[in-house]
Order: sequence, then C-alpha cells, then structure tokens
Amino acid sequence: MIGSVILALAVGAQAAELSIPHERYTLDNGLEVVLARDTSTPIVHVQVWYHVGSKDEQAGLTGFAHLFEHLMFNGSLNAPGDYFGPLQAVGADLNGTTNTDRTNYFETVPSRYLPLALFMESDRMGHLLEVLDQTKLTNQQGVVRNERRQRYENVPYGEAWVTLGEHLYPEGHPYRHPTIGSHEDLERARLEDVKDFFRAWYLPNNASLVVTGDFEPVQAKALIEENFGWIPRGAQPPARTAAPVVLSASDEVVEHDDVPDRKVWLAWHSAPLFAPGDAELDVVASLLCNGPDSRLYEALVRTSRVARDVGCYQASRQLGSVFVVSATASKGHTTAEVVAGIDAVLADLRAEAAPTAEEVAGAIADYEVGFLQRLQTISGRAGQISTYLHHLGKADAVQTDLERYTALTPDAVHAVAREVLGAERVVLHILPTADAPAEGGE
Amino acid sequence: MRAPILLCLALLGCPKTPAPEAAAEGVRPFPEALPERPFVMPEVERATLSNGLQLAVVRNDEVGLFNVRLFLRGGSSLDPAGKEGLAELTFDMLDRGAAGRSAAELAKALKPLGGTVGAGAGRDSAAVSVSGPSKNLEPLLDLWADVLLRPDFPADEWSLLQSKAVADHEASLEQPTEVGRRVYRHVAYGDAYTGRLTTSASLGGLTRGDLVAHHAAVLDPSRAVLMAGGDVDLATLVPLLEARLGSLGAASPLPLPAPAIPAEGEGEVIYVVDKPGAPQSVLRALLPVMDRTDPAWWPFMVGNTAFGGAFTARVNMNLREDKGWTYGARCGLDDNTGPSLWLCSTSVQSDATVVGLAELRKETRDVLGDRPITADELAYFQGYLVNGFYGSYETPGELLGELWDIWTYGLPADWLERYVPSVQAVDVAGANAALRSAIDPDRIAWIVVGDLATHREGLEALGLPVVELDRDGRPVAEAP
Repeated sequence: MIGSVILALAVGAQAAELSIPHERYTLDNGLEVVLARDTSTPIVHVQVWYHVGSKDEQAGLTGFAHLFEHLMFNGSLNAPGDYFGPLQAVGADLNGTTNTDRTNYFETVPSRYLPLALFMESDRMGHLLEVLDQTKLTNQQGVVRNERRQRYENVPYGEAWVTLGEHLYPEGHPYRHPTIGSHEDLERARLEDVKDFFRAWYLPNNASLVVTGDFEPVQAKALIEENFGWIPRGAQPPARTAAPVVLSASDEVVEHDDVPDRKVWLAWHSAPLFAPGDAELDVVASLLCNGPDSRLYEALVRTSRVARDVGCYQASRQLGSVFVVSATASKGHTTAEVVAGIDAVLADLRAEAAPTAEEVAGAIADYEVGFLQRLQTISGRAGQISTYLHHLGKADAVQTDLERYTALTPDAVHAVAREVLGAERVVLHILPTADAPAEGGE
Repeated sequence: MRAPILLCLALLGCPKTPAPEAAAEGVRPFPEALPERPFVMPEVERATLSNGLQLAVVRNDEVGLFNVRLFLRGGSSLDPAGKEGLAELTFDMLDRGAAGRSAAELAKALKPLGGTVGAGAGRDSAAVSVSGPSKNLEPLLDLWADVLLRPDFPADEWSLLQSKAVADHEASLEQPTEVGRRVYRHVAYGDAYTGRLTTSASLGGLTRGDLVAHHAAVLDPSRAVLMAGGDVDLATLVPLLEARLGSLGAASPLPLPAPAIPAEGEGEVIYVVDKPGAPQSVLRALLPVMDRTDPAWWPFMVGNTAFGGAFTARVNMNLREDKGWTYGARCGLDDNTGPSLWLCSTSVQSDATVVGLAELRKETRDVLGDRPITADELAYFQGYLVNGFYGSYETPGELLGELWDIWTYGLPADWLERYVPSVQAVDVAGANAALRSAIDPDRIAWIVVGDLATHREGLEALGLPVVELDRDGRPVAEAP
C-alpha cells in the first residue's frame, strides 16, 4: 500500500466504509479549513473555493464572476505580477474555474513549496485590490471575450446552452444567463464593480481552504494561521435562493446557424445536486444513452437510424438541475423524426417498460468506478471535499454520496423518470442555414 | 542551488524588497521553501511472455482499480494511400461484436463488472485497453482478449460505423481548430503517410474485408507492449496473460513504414483556409525540427518552453496578458517517429488576425535575433520543468505513458532518470543556439483559418506569399 488514503477499497468490497481521513476546523475569521494527508508522492495540493458563482451576478453584469476569477491571476500586493509567475517557477500545476454556483482556485506544487502556495492564495484573498487597476481590467475583458469567441462562438452549436437557459428559466432567475456572460455586459464592467464584488464575496467567511497530499499537519496548520488568520472577516453575503422552476408549457425553439448537421436538445427541470431525484437521473441517463445496449442508442441509432448519435445527462446544480437528451439527425432525416423517436422510447420508459434490475446495476457499477477514479489523485480528493463543504456543509461525504447510487432500486429510478420526463420541457433545434425557409417578400 | 522561487522575472512581478520607510501595511516577504522531500520514482516491474510480448507493471492499490493496455506500433502510419482511416476504423470496430457476442451483449457483460474495454488507433500506434475493479480482473481480461483477438466485424455494425465516420468527418470540417490541425499536417508532410488526410472518399471506400485483413496483419508480439497499472501485480498477471495472449501473432505482419520525412517547404509562406464570418482566426506556425532522439532536443525543448511552452512564456504573456487578443497562445513540440514539429497555436479575435500573426512573427524573429532567451528566463523555466516533473507521476497511468513514449521514439531506457539532469545541464548559450539552429525563420509555414475576405489584403501586405488552401490542405485555384 503506497498511501493509506481511502479506507475500504474497490467496488463491492464488503462492509468497510469509504472515507477520506481528514481534519477539519475553522479559523477565527470564518475560513473553513480541511486537511487530508497522503504522503505517497512529495506533492501537495491547495484548493480554495469562494461561495460565489454566476448565479450571484447582478442584472447587466452577466459574466462578472468569471471575469473576476481572471483578475485573481493578475497580481496582489506582495506578488504584483502575474499569479502564474512565482508558482510556475516551482513547477506548479494551477488554474481556476467558475460555474453557476461557485468559483475555485487550485495549485499542485512540490510539497516543499506549500508555504509559497499558501502565501499566494492568501495574498489574493487579502490584498487583491491594492494593485488592481484599469489596465488589468481592460486586458482581461479582452481575454474573456476571446474565451467566449473560442469556446462558444467559433464552434458549431457552441451557444446551445446559452439558448436553452433563456428558455428554461424566467427573467431574473439566477441560472437564466450563461456563466461566460454577454459581450455587452463584459464590456460594461467598471473597476468600481470589481472592487465592490471583491468586498462583498471574497471573504474568509465565504470561502473554504482544502489542503491534500504531503504535508506535516502541525506545520501546515501554523502556516495556514500565519497566512490567512489576519484577513478580516466581512459581512456574511446573502445565500442566493430560487424557487423550483415549473414550466407551464413546453417550448419549441428552432434556430438556423452555420452548422453542419441538424441537432436537437430536449431539456427538463430536475432536482438539485444531492437532493432526492438527482442520482436517479444519472442512472436514467445511463440506461437511455450509455453504450450500444442503451435504449435510445438501440432505437434511434442502431434500429431506425434516424440519429447518428445520442447523448443524455443530468446537469446537476445547486438551485436546480436540468436533464438533457441531445441527438444529431442522420443525413436525410429531420429533427422532428428524431424527437418522435425519443418520445416513443421515453413514453415506454414511463409506462410499462420500467428500468430493469440489470440496467440499474450496470449503471451503478459504472458510476462507482468513475467515482473511485476521481479519488485517486490529491486534486480529485480536494475537489470532492470542497464540493461536499459547499453543498452539504460536510468535509467527507464519500460514503453517503456513493450510497445515493448503490442504494437505488429500479422502482425508485422509475418513479423519478416518470415524474421528470412527464413534465413540460424545452426542445431546441439547431439547423443548417440551408434549411431556413426561403425569405419572403420583405 | 538557490531555491527556484527566488528567481524572478520583471515581467512576472518580482517579490519586491520594500525600502524600510515604505514598509506599508500588509507588506510581507515571500516565504522560504521547506527542506527538500525525496522523490522516489514508482517501481516498474517487468516481464516477457513466452511469445516475446513485453509487460511493464506499475502498482498502486489506493482505490482497487486496474488498467491493462496492449500497445501496437503502427497505427495510421500503416494505412495504404487512398485508404486513410483504415487503422482508426479497424480499431473502432473491435468492441462492436467479438467472439459471437454483439456490441450490445459485450456492453451488457462489461457493465455489471464495472469494466470498460476501449480500442483506438492514433498516428503511430494503436491500443486496446481494459480497466475496472481488480476483483473482476479475470472476467474483464477474458472480455478484453475477445475484443483484441476475436472481433467479428459484424456487417451491420460496419455499415453503421462507416456512415457515422463519414458524417462525423464532414462535420469536423466546420470546426476551425480541427481544420487547422488537418491542414498543418498536410503542409508539413505533403503526401508522406503522416501528411495524408482522411477524406469522405477514403472513409467511404473502405470495406469490411479491408478491416479484417488489417486486424490480422497488425497483431504481432514483436511490435507490441503490454502495460498495466493500479491494483495488479506481476505475479498475478503473467499467468493470466499467458493463458489469454499465447495465440497472439500475425502470420505475415505489415511492414512498418520508415519515419516520415517532412516536405521540403516553400520558404516562409502564409497558408490561408477560408471560414467566412468566423469571429476568431486560428493561427499556427510550424516548422520541422530535430528528431526526439537528437541531443539538441533538450536545449531546444528548454529554450522553447521559455519562448512559448508555458502560460508565463513570452508568446502567451504578449498575445494574451498584454494584448488581450486571445484566450491563450503556446508553442510546443509535436513529437513524431521522424523529426518533431515545432508548432505554435492560438486563436485570435478576427480583427487581430493580421497584427496577431505579425506579432507572433516578430516574437520569433526577436528570440532568434536581438532578444534571445536571458539567463533569468532560462533558470526560471528550468525550475518550472524540473519541479513540475515530480508531480507527473502521482498515478500509474502517467508513468506508463512516458514508458510508451520511450518505447515509441526509441529513447534510452533510463530517459526518465536523465530528465532532470538533462534539463539542468542546458545553459543559456546552448538554449539560444538550439533555437537558432533549428528555427530558420525564412522557412516557417504560417496557417490562418478565418474570414479570408476580410483579411486577405492585410496578410498580403505583410510581404509574404499568401496561398489559399481547401480544408484538405490542397491549393485552391485563384479566382480570376
């Protein structure tokens, strides 16, 4: 055994429970800290989560949480140059990400550089604004607008999720706009907005710090206190809430764009991440779309051949999730045929063709292996701990998280499939411009 | 040696030593590093099966999962002219029916075991792998051996895959980054095997018989290697693999092609591929350099890392962090069995197409001319490479990937032990000499995938020949 990190090994291992041995405490300023040691490789991973995401943005400033994330890499009082500078010098692997629910920052360094990693993270938590200026903001507005072009606009179907959001959520809902934001709003951001955002959200009492890997616990705790203990607590930011969205009617959207194929997305509202009904839909996604024995593949790709591929997934989020089925029409077929084919399979699933024990067991075994793979690395473990802290207020929920799946019965999966897939939905067709009706006499 | 964090570059923000009277509130010095912790490379256990097949195993029992993979030399390099895509589709077909089980039956057998079997072919190699919980090792190895040795190539599955492959290929031609990737290989290699591109015609012309014959001709123990990682050990694996792979062997293996020699090139040229209305332009610069086994590879690799191989390297700090024209820009080495390609890649906003290319061109000419890599830069990026090396071996997969590179490129067996000293041995004169010797700026091929109507005039004003290519890398006849 190289590093005894995960107790109780392997799929179906009897009895022993899965856990990540750890120590958890809170600094006086409210910063949540979790330490989970693994000395098998002389590297250490530091991960900081701020409990703010694009759901917390103001109207007219969409994309701001992510733009702000970029500015966290442009220097702080004691490390005023690029954030990558001192860390890449020691071989760090680092980055940050923003989603609807949270913003995170992380670095893996050789373990002897733990003091540097903690120094850098604490300096931008405590001393970002002293060196932030309009030049940096203008530069990163340009970079983020290019990120939008590269990942959403210069890619066929890249804005499908943007469109789906506009039709799934009402005006003012925290998930209506995409995390990347709009060009107009990104350009609108002022230096004062950046400062206000930092003061409102980037607080030790609105963050967690997780350290995994090779460290000496006593030394690590002293370093954490020294680096983060002085950062003042701020007013606790409000928790964003939203009532579950219930569509009063289904919505059918047709767009024409510079795309090679006819594609279609079907989207239903579903239960939030970790809530009852969330894991069930991962299993539904698997039995419908995962592999050549899955139901939609068998019906649409293999048998009728109206689609050349089909995909399903549960996009799990804090305030409510979305279950999505997408498919590409085969040449010579329409998305209407594809939707009809999908609907026939879903109608069967909701009626008498309940999930079988074999389907459910296969999906669970597959999920379990993916789950264990995530726990193999110190960064994967830190991500899991941070997720549990953010959503559940616990540091180690691996066993209960896994049991959300292993305890599922075909009946439970069937009940959720009936409820969610029987509700109103949004259908988005994105078709090649050549399919557009000829323009009339305008 | 001083701790690398004490090195700094003005551009990246050196830790400032404040004057005593300026010791403002909150000013803190950079911390000292802790004592060095020893790094021990995970042990690699090796064996040779009775049919000559080599096996390497890296153990790690943290989560009770294993992975076994058979690598085969060859890959798409074995595709005959006109049959581009043969290796790729042959391997894609393996798990779509084997030993009498249909694709769906195979999936149904694998899922309850938590197992995954995968097969695929790349440019110079192909692989068939199996992974899952180690308690299911034996039944999973059985299914893997069926897929590897006894594929059925069912006719209905083949027609399904072939039509999908053609449609996917045609869709990929609408992806500007994919077009950039296709075109650069063709520009670099012309019609040598590695420059030949799959087309709808080559994919559509393949037959089931072609696939069956390809499969039979590539399985040869003398050019295969087995790699295993995770919760498995050599003593357990050897008899299990002997029992399953004893029959492995091709009656008449396909000869491996000689490494592809890059095309001569036409001097410094801008190749353009039209993508009307594109909001960004894909930019690439390429030039064949030295073989991966060439001693000059080390100083070139280290020098290029400072030039364009990392976030903080010159190219990204200029085009992204100064100009804001792109989400990222890098220059790296695309290693091959022949000469490696030096390749710069970025996507810039449409209105920065011409200035972006000009800026990348200027950076290149500067580093070769009056703004060579400095001693500070070199030391900084040596620290980056050496310190980053240790984190790369946290899981067996990463180490096995390196072993595969060593085997594919014919590197010395102790290449991993040589890595740190070889990086540290590079000096600033050597790094600059390697860059200057390998990069002839008058031979760089530039590639632009973007809105040609908007940019043609500006690109022509740079004073270089501008050649329009189609999405298969062939010249487009000029409009009258």
